[in-house]
Amino acid sequence: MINNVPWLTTIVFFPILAGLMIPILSSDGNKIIRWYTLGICLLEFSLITYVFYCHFQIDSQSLQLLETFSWIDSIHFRWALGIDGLSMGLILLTGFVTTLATLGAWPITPNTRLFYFLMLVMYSGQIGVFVSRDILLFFLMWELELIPVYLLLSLWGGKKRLYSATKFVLYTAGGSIFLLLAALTMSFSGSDVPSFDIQDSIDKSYPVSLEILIYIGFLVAYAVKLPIIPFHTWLPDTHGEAHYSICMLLAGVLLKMGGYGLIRINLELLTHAHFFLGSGLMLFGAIQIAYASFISMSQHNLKKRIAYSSISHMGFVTIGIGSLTDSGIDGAMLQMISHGLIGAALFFLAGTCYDRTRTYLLDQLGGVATTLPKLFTMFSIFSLASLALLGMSGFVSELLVFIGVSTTEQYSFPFKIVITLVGAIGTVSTSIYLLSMLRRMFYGYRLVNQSNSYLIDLGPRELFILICLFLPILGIGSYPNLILPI
Amino acid sequence: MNDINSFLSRLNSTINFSTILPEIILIVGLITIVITDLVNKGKNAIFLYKIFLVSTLVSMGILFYQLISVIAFEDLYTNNIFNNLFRFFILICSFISVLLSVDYVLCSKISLAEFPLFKISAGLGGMILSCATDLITIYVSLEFLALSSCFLSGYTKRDIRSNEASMKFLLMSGASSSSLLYGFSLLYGFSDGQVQLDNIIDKILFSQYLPTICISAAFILAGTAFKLSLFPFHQWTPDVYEGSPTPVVAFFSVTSKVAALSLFTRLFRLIFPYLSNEWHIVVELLAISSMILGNLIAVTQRSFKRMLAYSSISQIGYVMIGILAADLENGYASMLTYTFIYIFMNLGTFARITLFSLRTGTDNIRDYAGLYMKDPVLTFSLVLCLLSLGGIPPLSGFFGKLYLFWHGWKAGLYISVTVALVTSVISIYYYLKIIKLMLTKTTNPVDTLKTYEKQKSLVSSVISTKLKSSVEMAMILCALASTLSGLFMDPIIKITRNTFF
Repeated sequence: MINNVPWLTTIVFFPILAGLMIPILSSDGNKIIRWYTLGICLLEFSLITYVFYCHFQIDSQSLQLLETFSWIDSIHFRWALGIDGLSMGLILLTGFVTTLATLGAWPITPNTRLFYFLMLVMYSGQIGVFVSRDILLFFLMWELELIPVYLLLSLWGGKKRLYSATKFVLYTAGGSIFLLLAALTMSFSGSDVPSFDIQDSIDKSYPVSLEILIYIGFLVAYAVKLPIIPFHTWLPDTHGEAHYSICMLLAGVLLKMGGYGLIRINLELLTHAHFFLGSGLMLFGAIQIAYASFISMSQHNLKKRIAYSSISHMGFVTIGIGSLTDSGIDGAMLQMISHGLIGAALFFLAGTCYDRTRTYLLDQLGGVATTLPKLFTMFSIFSLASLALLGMSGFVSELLVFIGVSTTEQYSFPFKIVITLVGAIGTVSTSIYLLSMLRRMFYGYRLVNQSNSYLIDLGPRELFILICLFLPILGIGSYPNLILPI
Repeated sequence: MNDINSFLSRLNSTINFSTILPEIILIVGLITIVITDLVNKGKNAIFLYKIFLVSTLVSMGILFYQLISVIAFEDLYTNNIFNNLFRFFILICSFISVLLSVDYVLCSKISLAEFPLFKISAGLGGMILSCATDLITIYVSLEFLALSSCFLSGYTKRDIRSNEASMKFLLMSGASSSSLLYGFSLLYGFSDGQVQLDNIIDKILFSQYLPTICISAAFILAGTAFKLSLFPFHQWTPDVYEGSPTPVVAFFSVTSKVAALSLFTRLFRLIFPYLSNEWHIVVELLAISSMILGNLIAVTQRSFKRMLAYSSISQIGYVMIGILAADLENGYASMLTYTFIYIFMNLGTFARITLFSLRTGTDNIRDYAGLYMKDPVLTFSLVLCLLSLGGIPPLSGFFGKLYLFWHGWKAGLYISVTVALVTSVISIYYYLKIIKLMLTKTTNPVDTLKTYEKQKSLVSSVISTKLKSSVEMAMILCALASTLSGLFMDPIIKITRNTFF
């Protein structure tokens, strides 16, 4: 079903085309650029919501809003876009988080034009990943993220930004090689006419060993992005050094690209290999939850702590995908969305805290609760959301994942017990490190020699962002049926 | 009169004039330049450049027309699409590289007139090499190209490095030409005195001297691999590239490689088809080692031109995959498309380096630090070209590489494509290093850029139209081609498809 108006192409192209107009705008003050970009982001987000409400049928299982233009015929590379429930949720998340990240980047002063241009390019690229139906297009959008993140990181980051930016690029590019190789293998084998379309590829069947190879190829690329240990080492550096609005984008959306790819390609197209390797995925996911939360407990740097907690939460996604049950996959999807919101909020909070106190080290941040009550409140709320307090979305998603693990019939009983146990350890330690972080930051005695004239509390803009992020979390937590039918 | 008439008519019947019309126009341009220079006694030198540009443009136009008509009527003369495309590429190279050399030559106060002369002669050599079909023409045009390039590389007489570069180039090109000639002589002997490539094939096809033919193949490979700067015949490339004046390096890095590509393809495709397994393996080995070596050493370079020399070694490694992957329905499409994109990426980068070295006089990568503050336009165009060389979407380098690797994978060259991808990631690292240096604001006290000023071009009033100088025009042209041609790659691919022979 092809619409008359190519909605999806519009959604993908609109930010980047608008971004190309930025150099034309005068740079008298940074205000014009900020408002312009904010306007574009809002417009884009309203477009997305409009498409969602008016053109999307929630109940149908198949792809909708398909668009196919033949682009480079000789390698059968087509501009094929289409969405279904999984993509739609993630696209909404992208729009939401990117808009808020743009709003959150208000205090950036140097080189605003480049910054906002790169934000818009990222916007396009992220949406492009979630809507593409052609594996080469998927690869293109995936690679498109590399340079904007590199530039954003290296120009506006923290102290070790150049090192972490290069690490990010090399790691991700190295992982993407496997994506390309696996994509090429998949398209050439199993049929006479090479095709990259995801729809066609579903019908193909491959010899099992080849399928496992292809699966591993794709898995490496997603493992770098998702991240799955041991490919996660780029994440603490990158998240620790980036400016907090970039962190919002990174944690909120980019990590989900890996999860999306896992579900979309590995689950739907390579089902046999998935049966074989699903147990491995679950194992790694469980270890990841526990391992990352233990590391997080020992971190002194606030942002790195939150970064490791991101890794830990994404372990749930891995477990959910590996569990081969519907509820597990639902839980993984929900976890992706919920962590997108929570992670973005936590990073934003950490960043605003840094803006005020100029330090990330927890030892130096003592007892600021009395001077920054609003910051303290929001931080507590989001930390509680992160550790899956009842009533928040994190709880629902983790519950679903655990249900999925326990009800799966594919695996033996002891295995399931082990996984659940390790996952539970991870969850408990999540609460340990989050609460200890709160304690060290807010309670306790204030250090006397800290200059406290800069400790202004959260301004209205930041409050707005945080409340925007909080409401869906609460909403999904209380009424998960909002998202689940998708 | 009668003699002239009969001579002309005989000439006309033996040579089809219209097919070599582009070369004839270039020769006419060459002669005009020499005469004008003698007449003017060194004054009004810009006029010479105008002549050069005009003649190049005219011959490009005619070639284009021929290309279109050939495609339309499917003419299968010796000047088939393959040859025509290569001639077209070489003309583009000459055109753009002259655009970016004008300012440089004027600023460095070297003698002006011989420069376009040598450029035209080198371009001529390249063009004839692209469509040569017998051994003697191949050798003569190769030497023509090599000697002119030699003179060009030693052009700045007072620079020691330039002298060293031209000496190295002369010696090594002499050695490689002699090895090529030895290979040719073996072929000549085996085919009972035939010189035309087609006839040679007929004669040696069922010859029993197979091992000796392999030897001749090896020698020919050595000779052509020198020009292509494949490993291990690449040793001349970094030194020559670093020493020669920058516009000359720009010219070299595209023209001689493009011409050598056409030579390589034609020789190996036509003469040794039944040895194709053997030379495939050898070429694959050479390509893999070039890619690995070029990219790894480029990481450690401190001089921009040297780094670009190593990166061009690795780019040729990628193109070799395209040659190996040629098959019946697609021909050499991947190689030709990537060559086309490579020309623009490379020339674009060199244009910017030329501009930069004109304004600051240095080639060190460290001195590019903080360029974004002083000259955003230059920075951005350099960023675009470097990213395109690295293969980042949505620039055209990405699409070129994608097409190349698609073909390579389809043809079963799994190892080469994997190595190519891994080394691409390594190349991203060193390109990003430069970009990072340019964009981040770290300026140290002994900063070359402090004395950076935007010089008004010396020839701005004469050559350029609305833009500041011809170098910038070349720059913008290349930047546009680097970014947009990837998106519109499909028509290019369609043109390059029909090139298998």
